[in-house]
Amino acid sequence: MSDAGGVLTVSEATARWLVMIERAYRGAVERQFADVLPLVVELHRQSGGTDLALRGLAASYALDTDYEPALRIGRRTLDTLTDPRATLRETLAAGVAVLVEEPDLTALGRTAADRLLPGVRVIEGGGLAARWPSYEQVWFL
Amino acid sequence: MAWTPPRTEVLLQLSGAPHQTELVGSALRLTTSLLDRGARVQVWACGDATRLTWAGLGDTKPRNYADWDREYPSAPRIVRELLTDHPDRLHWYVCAFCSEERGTADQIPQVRRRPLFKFAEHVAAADKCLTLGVC
Amino acid sequence: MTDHLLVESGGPESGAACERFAGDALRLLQDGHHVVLFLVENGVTAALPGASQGVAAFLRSGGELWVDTFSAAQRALVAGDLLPGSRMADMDEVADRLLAPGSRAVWH
Repeated sequence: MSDAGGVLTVSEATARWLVMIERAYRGAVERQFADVLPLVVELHRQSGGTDLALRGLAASYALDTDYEPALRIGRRTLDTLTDPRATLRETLAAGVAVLVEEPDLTALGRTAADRLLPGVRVIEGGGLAARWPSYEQVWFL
Repeated sequence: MAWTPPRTEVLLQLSGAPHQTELVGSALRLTTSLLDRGARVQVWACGDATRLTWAGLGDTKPRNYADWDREYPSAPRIVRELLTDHPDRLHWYVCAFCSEERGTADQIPQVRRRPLFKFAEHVAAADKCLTLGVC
Repeated sequence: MTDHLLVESGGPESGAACERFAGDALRLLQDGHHVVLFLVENGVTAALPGASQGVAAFLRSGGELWVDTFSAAQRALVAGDLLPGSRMADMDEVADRLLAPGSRAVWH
């Protein structure tokens, strides 16, 4: 289903915990680095294996974009805004499997699937729940 | 003579909570654009939005373990700088009741706590009033 | 006739409220007012084809649909993927509209 990271089957799921992120864009100015996404790498380290599923609008974290995470507030240019794509690249590099459901991807626009970050795996719509029994923990964060 | 709020073109009633949506960024972007146009602006913060200028947050966020030497400005510092740069055209008020109720009564000195029953005075002192979010 | 600036920040993910607000924009339009519907934050996703019947109806009926440039980029949305007839706009334009004499604005 995906040409970026391949299809993840139920039997391949070896991580112990599954983190689902559904609510996206929770305050780039006030959160900056202290967002939910960097937490996943730490959970991965503590658990011995955590997978990350991006659902709904959070699937857009997995899309390449020319967005510059900075904005001007008065005379200050705040260049420490939350940067979900950079964080997701670090998350993938740490060995976390990142999953998105295909309908969430196509809902983000005609060209969205072409801009998927390398390594992100696309699964069929509704496919996440089918994988839940293979995890010790399933959390929405 | 009793203090009355200075006249402004716009009143932004900021009611949505930080750390939930991009509302704070939108409010600060809109404030910047209004100030760039020479407008006078007042912000009235209610509910959890009173936390944006809570003195207890200090000037910087806690250190980032992944980027130890980088400094991240706190929300109170960002607001304070905006106020300092526009002393006659930007005013930031905090609902006294909300700040008591949400534990944010200790505010940075650049903002003014106002009783809820004075809110209509601020509406009357503005040409336009926009309410952002709910508390 | 009055100039109205309506700001939708929640979008389809916020539930039926987005459709209701788009309906408010359409009603004002049908009553003869000039209406700009500005989509910001997660609200920008309402400009994706198929995302909001209400926003599409508003656009078909002659309303002006503005999409916040910053919010769209933050969500990795590209202008070419959005509803034909919508246009990208920045906060400076919103400020201009808000400051225009006689204009009214509602944020949702």
